[in-house]
Amino acid sequence: MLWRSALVASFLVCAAYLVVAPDHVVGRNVLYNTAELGAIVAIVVGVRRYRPSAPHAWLFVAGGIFMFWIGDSLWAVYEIAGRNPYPSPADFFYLAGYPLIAAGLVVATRRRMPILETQAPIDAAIVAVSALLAVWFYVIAPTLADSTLSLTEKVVTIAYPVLDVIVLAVALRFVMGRSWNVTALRLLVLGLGLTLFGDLLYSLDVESRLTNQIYIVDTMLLAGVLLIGLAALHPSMTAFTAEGAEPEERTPVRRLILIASVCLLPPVLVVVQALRDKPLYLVTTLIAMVILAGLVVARLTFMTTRATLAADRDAALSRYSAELLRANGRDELLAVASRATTELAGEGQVRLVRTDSESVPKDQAITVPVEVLGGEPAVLVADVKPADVRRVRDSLTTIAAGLGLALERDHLVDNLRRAADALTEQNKRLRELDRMKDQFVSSVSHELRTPLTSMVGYLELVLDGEAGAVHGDQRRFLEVVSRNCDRLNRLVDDILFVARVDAGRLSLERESVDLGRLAAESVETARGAAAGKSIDLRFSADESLPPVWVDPTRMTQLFDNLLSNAIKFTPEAGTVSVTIAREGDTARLEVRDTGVGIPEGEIGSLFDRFFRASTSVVAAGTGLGLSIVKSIAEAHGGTISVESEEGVGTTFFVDLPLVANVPLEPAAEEAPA
Amino acid sequence: MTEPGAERDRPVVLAADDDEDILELVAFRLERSGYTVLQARDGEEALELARAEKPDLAVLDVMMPKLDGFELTRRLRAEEATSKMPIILLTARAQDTDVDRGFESGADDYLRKPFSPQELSTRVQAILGRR
Repeated sequence: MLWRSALVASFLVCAAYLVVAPDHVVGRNVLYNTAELGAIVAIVVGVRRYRPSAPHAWLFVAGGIFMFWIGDSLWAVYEIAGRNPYPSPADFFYLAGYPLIAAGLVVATRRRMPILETQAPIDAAIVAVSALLAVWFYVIAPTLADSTLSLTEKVVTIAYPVLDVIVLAVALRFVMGRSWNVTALRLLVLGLGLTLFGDLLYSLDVESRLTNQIYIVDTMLLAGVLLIGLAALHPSMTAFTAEGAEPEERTPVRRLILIASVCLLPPVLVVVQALRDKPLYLVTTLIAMVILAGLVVARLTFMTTRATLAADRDAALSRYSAELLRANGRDELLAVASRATTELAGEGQVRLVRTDSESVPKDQAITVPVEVLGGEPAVLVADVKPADVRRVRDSLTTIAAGLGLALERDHLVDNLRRAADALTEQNKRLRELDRMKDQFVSSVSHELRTPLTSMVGYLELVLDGEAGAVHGDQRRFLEVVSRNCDRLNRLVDDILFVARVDAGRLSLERESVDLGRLAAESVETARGAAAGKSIDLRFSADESLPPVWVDPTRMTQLFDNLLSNAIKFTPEAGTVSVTIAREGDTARLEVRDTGVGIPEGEIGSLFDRFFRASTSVVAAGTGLGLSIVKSIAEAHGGTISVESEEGVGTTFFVDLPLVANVPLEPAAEEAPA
Repeated sequence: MTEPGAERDRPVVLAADDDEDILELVAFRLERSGYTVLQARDGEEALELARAEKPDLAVLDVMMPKLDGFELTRRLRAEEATSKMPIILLTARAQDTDVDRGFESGADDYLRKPFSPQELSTRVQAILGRR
């Protein structure tokens, strides 16, 4: 609110001055001096209101304006009195204002840029040297050459532009260091710019013909002072002395263009002088150009050094990344990072602190923690000059980030390796167990069959009469032994088969098989047993059934088991019929008997090992037959089911898939459907 | 009966089994059928006997100490003197892959334990009669 009112008031004052100035000597002097006082009051009010961190910077500026005010007040007396002395006491006050304003800018610059920067001062110096040369050409040299002027007149005349150049240099230094993209600073810079420009016009006016427009120049100077006051009233005025945002590392191209143009000024001045037939001041020009060349060389050296440093830093960081990738284990990683830290930071105290073995030192300029999941294994600390803080902090942050990632990766890899080791160990143990089980099955097979071989063999020798004649009950009893030896042998076979199924070792040796013919062979084998019980054994097979991909030995075992089962449980003169037909995508084997049947409640347990139905009167068999049939059917991807009615008969169905029986190459299995 | 050269008019059969009872069973049956039987209790002994006596046929157990029946068959086949000697393997294993391995190693026939002595005799006769 206050600022807006002041803005409006400033506009009105400038407008009024333009109107009043040409005709009213008293009016314009009163207006001008009051406005200057207003600007001073505005600065004091702003400082009290917003409390900037270094108020003396603003107060120096206010002091400078105050000097101008004294000068203007003295001059007003002369003007109203109709006198025009040169130089007058007023000039000394005017001249005293510039150093004060420059001092304010220097203080502000120090505050805004605590870190020493080399670019901005060099650039400001380049501009200042060129500007001074211009001043030499147009003010200093002509003034010195003018014999009509007294020494005092010469000094005062020269002092004005020289002080202008000093303020310009200081202002440029201020503007170039940090961003001044803030309302108050924009107003301030604009105010200073108007003041300096007005002075320039005044300097030129001393010799030339701008007298009619002198009030426009005065208005410009007035607006400059008012803008400085407005800047102090704006809430953002504290930015003048607050640390500004850090400038970009790279020099903007437009600044390089500005420097180049400024460096072209000396020859241009000489050419213009020559065209005007004025003195060329070649020695002075040469001196200025040598100074400029020195400054440009310093500037380039500085840029190159910085680029080299940056490149070195990048190279070191790349090297560090590569070393991190190569390193293994926490200690090695930390060692790599520690080395990179010391190497990168260059000057100053920089190091890596392992939090597990030492405490983190306090009061370090930079402290960058290395963060990993669940902790801070290390902290990077540095105690360096303020100018190096940013560069070192950037490097340390990069190192810390890389180290954190590497440590986490190492941790993960470690876990994975441990898990893999555990799995390998487990796998080895399982293989060993598997091997032992196979070994066991094979040993049992051998150990059981060896005594059986002797029993069966010698029994046969005895029964064949090789050891003398065998009579009556002797033969009958020995035949019982022989029969049971056979049964024991079958039991061993069945148990070994089941053990193989349990061990997942039932390997199928599949081939393309005509299921009908295979079944027919089993039926023929069973004819003897069926005929012994006068059982009618029927067989029919669907001729159109395509060949199936099965293990013929196992399939025969399946048929034999089902057939012997059916014949066993079917009374004399019963019927057993075997059918093989295609049903959709399956081949269906059906074995139907007119046997004793199975009670409904027991069907669920029928395929369990050693299960015997309560209706089973014949106790011969191992009790493993149906469970083996089921295992074989399932190993082929098939199913087995049963229908039974007590006293009527039982039917077993085995369904074998035709499609899934197509032999699958591994590649075919992987191909998309 | 096992002396070299003696009764060479009778065919000589080498029987090898680490089980004494089975070895005697084989020997008894074959001698009754008119063969001279050389007995070996392990694979190495059988190999030495085969080299020394050059029997007309060998009945070898598969699971024997020192040298098993498969390996023994392979070695006998590799040696000039015994490369043509017929070999019958006795296997206690139920798996058909054993039979395949037996034929691969060069056996002429095999019998699964427990076997019928008569059957063994018949097979021996069949092979020797064929020659």
